[in-house]
Amino acid sequence: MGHSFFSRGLFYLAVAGLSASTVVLAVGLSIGNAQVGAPAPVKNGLENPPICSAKTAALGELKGICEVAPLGNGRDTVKVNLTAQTSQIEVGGYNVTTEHYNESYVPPVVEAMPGDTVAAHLVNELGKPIAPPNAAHSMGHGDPNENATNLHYFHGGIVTPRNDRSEDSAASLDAGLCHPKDGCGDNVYVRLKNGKNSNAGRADYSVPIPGKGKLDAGVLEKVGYIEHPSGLNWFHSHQHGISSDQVMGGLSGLLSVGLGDANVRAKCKAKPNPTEQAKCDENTEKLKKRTFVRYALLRDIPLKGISALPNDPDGATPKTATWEPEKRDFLEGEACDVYVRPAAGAPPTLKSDKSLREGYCQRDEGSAWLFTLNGQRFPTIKVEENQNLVLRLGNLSSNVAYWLELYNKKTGAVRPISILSVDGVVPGKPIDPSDPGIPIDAFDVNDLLLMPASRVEFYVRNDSPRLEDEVYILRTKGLNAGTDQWPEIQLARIELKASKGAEAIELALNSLVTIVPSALFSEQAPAAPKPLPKGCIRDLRPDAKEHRRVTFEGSDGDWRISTEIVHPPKNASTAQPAEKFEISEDTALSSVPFTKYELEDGSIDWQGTRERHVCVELNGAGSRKQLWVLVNNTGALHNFHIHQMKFRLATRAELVGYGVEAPTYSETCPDKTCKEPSFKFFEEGTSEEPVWHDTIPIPPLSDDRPEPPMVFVIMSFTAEQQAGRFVYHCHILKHEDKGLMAPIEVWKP
Amino acid sequence: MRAFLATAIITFCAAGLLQAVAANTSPVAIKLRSGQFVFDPPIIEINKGDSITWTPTAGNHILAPKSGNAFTQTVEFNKDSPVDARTITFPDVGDIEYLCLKHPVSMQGTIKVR
Repeated sequence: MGHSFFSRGLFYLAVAGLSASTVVLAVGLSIGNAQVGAPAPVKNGLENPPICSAKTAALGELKGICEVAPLGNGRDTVKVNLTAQTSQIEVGGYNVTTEHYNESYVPPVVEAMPGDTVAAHLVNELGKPIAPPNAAHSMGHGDPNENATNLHYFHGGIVTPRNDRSEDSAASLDAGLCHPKDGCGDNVYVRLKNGKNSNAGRADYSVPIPGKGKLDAGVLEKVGYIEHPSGLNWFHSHQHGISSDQVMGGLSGLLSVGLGDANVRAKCKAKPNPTEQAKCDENTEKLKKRTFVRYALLRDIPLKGISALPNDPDGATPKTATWEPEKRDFLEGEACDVYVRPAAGAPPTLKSDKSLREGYCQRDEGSAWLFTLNGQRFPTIKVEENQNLVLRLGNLSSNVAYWLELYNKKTGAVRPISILSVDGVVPGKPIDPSDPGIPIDAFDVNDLLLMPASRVEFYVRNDSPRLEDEVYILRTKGLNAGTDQWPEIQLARIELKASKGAEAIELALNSLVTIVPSALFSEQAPAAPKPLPKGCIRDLRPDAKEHRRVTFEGSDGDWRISTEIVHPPKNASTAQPAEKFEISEDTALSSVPFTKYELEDGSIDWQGTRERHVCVELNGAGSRKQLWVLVNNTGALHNFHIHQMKFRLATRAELVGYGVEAPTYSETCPDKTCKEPSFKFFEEGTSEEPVWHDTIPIPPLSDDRPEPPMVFVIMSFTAEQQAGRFVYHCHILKHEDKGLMAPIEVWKP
Repeated sequence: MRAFLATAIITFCAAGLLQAVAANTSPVAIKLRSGQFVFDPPIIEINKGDSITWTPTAGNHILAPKSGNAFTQTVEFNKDSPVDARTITFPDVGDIEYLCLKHPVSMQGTIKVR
């Protein structure tokens, strides 16, 4: 037997409990004549976005948009050309003017392998901002009409920002420019002004994805080296002050490391002999052949001035509407209704039935807030007999948290969701080839909270016997986010056709395999200590049991972050509550909005003339398994994110090791009966089978939760690719735009 | 009779005097309203020598005047120094604008000392 996640509350966002595994109990014996490929045409079927990969480029697809060139080592550069522009496009059946790439609401999915380099040529041809000038625009620097943009390329990547102090053009990097020779890495400090003929509005990004043996496994807490995890990631505008509007309009897209079915894997015996291994590999291939992949960008967009109701019959040309980017909130008491016409041409009547909210709802007759998958309202995914579906779902919304559930339309029963990866990483630690623990079972959850920027890959099986068709609805159950009250929306239909059943093959997690080079154990002379770079706050001191405390503060329109290093109170002989810890001398950044780090020309104050910043010494004494305590001292739900990093929840035992007394409960709703997701604070189990994240929710204060909630996470700074300057922030972009972000620098000694 | 009247007058005056100088304490709640912390009421009028007691329902807060030093002590709420309420007396006439340093936009208030 492999390890199982079922026995413990692995998924902090699972609410109704974990159910039985994804094991297929197929009684039918027909070895699936696994007809795989595009399903039969279906009305409003979910269309895959175009894919930019070596395969599609070889077929001559996406000419002018997607370019693939060999790197010379057997791997490729996969490059996408992105022109940010303001023009009319079709979104969910409406012609709307938004800010997007390449005249489309859905840009290509960049699909590249570990060892490839993903590249992008970004041109800023945006017009003036569509949103009325407001305080958000004044937070960025320069003329708001410049409508600057940039690229986080890519979110979820443990990849180089190519802007650390040892790079050979520190001055230009200080100014937020790309590396003059190698182009931009994943550098969010670049700022491109608009203008068709302006060199200032163009940038070339070139980001190597670590290949086999090129990524220090310490980031996932193993000794040795791995390749970059295969999974779903994304790219998007990270232009401070206006990122919410730009991402909402369409300036984002998906990026896959590995093929779409990379994480479909059959379960093998532990420690298989060569024959068993061959059988296992054969089963994996069989499973992949009966699996089809759908990429899905989950997005929402508020419209006003609609020319026709969303459910009015479609005419020869799409309906028209006006994008309303300044509508970023969904406040308590706000209407979320549907208007229908009793007969063609009749005046519409208001309906409040939630089941009618098929990909949209309306606060009045003239507006509609669309919630789409790949720009489609309430599409259908048809899963044919003996086929399985991998749905690779990214929440690319600027601000909306989706509390997802899959329920049977006929019976109302909830169908467990089988998870293959979260935030672009297969759960669990990398394994050694000889690890007796392999394989790890895939696991199920009854619902999941997909925060903005988070991704999930889940598997829907239809290769077991079933006499009748079944229809499931993917919906968000609605969420009280403190300030926002996100509504319940029906997002998509999944049709499972009646099936005779195929050969039973169990599913397992596609764990990363570690390489341990012998050189790793050779004696190395310790590097001579180097002084702390200018502008830096020192790193944690493990011998003093220090950890980092990050507190989100402020309120709508003026968010701030306090970051400090803390240590146990003097003379404490036992573990103490985290709030009792004392601030270590000269380490506090108190209540700082991001604007305080910005200089007049829009660059960052890396020299610390106005405010110092958080610094971590790469592979320094305190760089491994750092404890960060994330505190929410506000009434709004927040969503912590840090670039170039994967982190996990700390365990109770680890907290004790840091001298921290764990709170009584590890999550907000242990019995899973609440009207909100069960937010996890820490992990009750061990750290052996973690779920890795790059975003994690921090629940808000409320009258029922009067003490600031704390989420305890562990992260490591050990990979060369992490060196450089990046950010940690709230990935609810309207919060980030208004200050809830801070710079961080990982420096090489 | 005169003695009785004199005593009555003195007693009455003393009571009135006491009534005039007796310090009152007015409550200001710190509430969550639609996810934002606010002072309730945001503007409060008190007499010279009166006090205000702040009571939070949730969260950590540090209250301070926008300018000057009208607060004679730090008004801080956190779990490390748990108190349900903090009280300050205001001996001088004037308007005092104050805020929470942790939530400076949504938590702004004015104390009018008359």
